[in-house]
Amino acid sequence: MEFSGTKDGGFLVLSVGGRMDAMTAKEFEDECARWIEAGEKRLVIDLSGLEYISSAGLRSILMLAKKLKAQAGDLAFCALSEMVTEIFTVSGFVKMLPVFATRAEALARP
Amino acid sequence: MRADESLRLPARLESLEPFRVLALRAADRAGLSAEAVGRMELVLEEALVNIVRHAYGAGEGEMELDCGVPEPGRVVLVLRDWGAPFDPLHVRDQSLEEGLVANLEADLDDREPGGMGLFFIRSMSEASYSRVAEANELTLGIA
Repeated sequence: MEFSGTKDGGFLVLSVGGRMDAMTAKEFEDECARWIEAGEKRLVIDLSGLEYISSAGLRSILMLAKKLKAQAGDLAFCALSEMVTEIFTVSGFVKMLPVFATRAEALARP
Repeated sequence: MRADESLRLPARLESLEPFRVLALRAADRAGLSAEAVGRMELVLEEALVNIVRHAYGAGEGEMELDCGVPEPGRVVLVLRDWGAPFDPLHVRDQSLEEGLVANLEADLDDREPGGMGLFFIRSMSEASYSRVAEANELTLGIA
């Protein structure tokens, strides 16, 4: 997987590219853990470059969301591809987590 | 179904990629839509990961994939392992099934991480299971 993190106001925007599956989901967990350890508590994950996700990826996202909430942080997603949108919808993740069409909308939150 | 291509490999996560490549070739022959290819990759991964994690306990074993294109626009995958009998399509405990449905609606605090893989297999492919001799055989149809 490919990652690219940038600060934007109070948020850390992490662009994620590639495939998040049983082989690679750990890379996403490790990347997020590094940012959280560095003090970032409000993460916006830009998924425009993510072409595929499986239940292993959803599991990593769920654990990350719980971890951030426990630390009074938060986690939002934006710019989902078609495949990832379908999986987020079928699994109920669109109702459980903040999901935005664009990065600008995700960053416009209080 | 006559399989066009078949592959047998150790039941390990490292085997996922060669199986995926084989299935993608069948999808190409069938002319599947991009949307159907995504569903195919997903149900294949979930079914293989399930075999890797559960079929042989702490031991070693193999898994096999047959890919066929019975007609244009349709791929049939048959997954085989020689582990303990397990039907991923049959939920013995009704409360488990109800728990899974409630889990899909749960908020972040109550959401449990498990159960999604089998849910995807059942909801995103035409799946059937049979125990053939000493093997678990899971057939997944994607159109």
